[in-house]
Amino acid sequence: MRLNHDEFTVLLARALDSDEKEASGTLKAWVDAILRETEENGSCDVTGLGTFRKGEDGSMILDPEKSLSMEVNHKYAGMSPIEVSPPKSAQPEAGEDAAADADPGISDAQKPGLEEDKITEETTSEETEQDIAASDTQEGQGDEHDPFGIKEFEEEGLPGALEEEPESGASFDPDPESRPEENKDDAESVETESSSRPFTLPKLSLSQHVKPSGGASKNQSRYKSEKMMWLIPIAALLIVALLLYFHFDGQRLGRTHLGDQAVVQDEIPVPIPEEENNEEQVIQEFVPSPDPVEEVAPPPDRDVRPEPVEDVAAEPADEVIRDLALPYGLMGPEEEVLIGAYTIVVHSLRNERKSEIEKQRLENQGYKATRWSAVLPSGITTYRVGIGQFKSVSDAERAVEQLPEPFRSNNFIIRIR
Amino acid sequence: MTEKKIEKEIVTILASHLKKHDQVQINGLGTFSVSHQKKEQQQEKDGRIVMNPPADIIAFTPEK
Repeated sequence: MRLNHDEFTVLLARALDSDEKEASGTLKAWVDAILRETEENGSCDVTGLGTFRKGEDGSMILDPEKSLSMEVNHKYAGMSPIEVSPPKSAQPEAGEDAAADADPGISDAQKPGLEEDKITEETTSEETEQDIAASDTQEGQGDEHDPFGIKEFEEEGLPGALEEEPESGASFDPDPESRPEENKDDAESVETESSSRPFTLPKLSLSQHVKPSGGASKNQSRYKSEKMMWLIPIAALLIVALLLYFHFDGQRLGRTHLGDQAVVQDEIPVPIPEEENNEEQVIQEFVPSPDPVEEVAPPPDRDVRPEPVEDVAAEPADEVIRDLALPYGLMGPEEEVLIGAYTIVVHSLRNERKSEIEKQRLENQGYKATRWSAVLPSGITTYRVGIGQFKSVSDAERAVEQLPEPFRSNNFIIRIR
Repeated sequence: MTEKKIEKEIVTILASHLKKHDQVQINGLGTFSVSHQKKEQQQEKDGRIVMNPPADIIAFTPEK
């Protein structure tokens, strides 16, 4: 809408309880005062509006007052820049988004130098709004947010587990002293064996890792390094053996499960080298099953038999459905708010009810819609509606291209915190 | 009526229309309007690419 000078004068006359002519004269006097002061002093401060000043080319420039600018920009107030890609020096080898975007569960503290640092420096309102967003959207969901907390905990725990390695080495330290003589003999034999073998490289690295405490002798440190040398491959072999055991055990379990169905038996390929033995085992497992089935109720059982096959066939479909129901994406129900994910803000409204209506409308259109409140620095609360949850900014930007107008051209991507 | 009060009334009318993103023209001074600045990507000196949010900005065009 455009308000011209005459319309403005009418409004001013109404506000001043005077006629239009008087209001026009008052307005002209005000304008002249501003122009005169700007000309004389170089600037003129108008409370509530801003500062008029002379530009380099002599034209008049207005620097609007911060509070007014914020009021005008209420829709986007509190939003701060987000980092699309990290600095070149900090870019991971796997790709630009690998560290910053692919793992939203990583806490801010774990990502120094990334966007969050800058954002927190620039505004605190974004934090408040997003914190509120997180708390608002989690209302009634409660534990839905926990898995991410657990994830963060697990990720934090991983380096801890790695740090335990020296501790295990430390727990290994007292062993030679408290070890029976047999072990010492073993150690000596190991030492003699190892002295004949060229294990120089690992010995050096381990000796650097496991430092002898106080006045420990050279032999003790060498014994420790030799022992560690043997322990590592043994542990690796044990792990491999366990993995193989569980792998084959799992396969056998899967086969027996299918064997219960007694239908898929012939269709299952047996890729294991020990084919004959396994097949025999499977046959032994399968042999008893047809007999009782035939004895109990042959005709109905035959009718019932296909059901498990249907279940087997239905499993991939379930997986597809599960994939579709993943929390990331533009469409679908909003099952949980993913902290660290990105969302596309399409509405910023002061009316709570209207924002709820807009959210409902978007949900009815199939979008994954989220609504939260943002408290601006001025104290005004706005209600924002975002659609979709994405792993990275680039994913969100790709989704923006799919949006209809006016959302496609009027949106902003923010990070859920 | 004091000058301060008159100025306050003028600013109140002006600000209320700017908040509604209306364009206001005052003869002898210029035109106040609100322009929409789209979100844009910007590369910083350290190589980071940052996306700035969109904004509605007060614009003033002086009368020539």
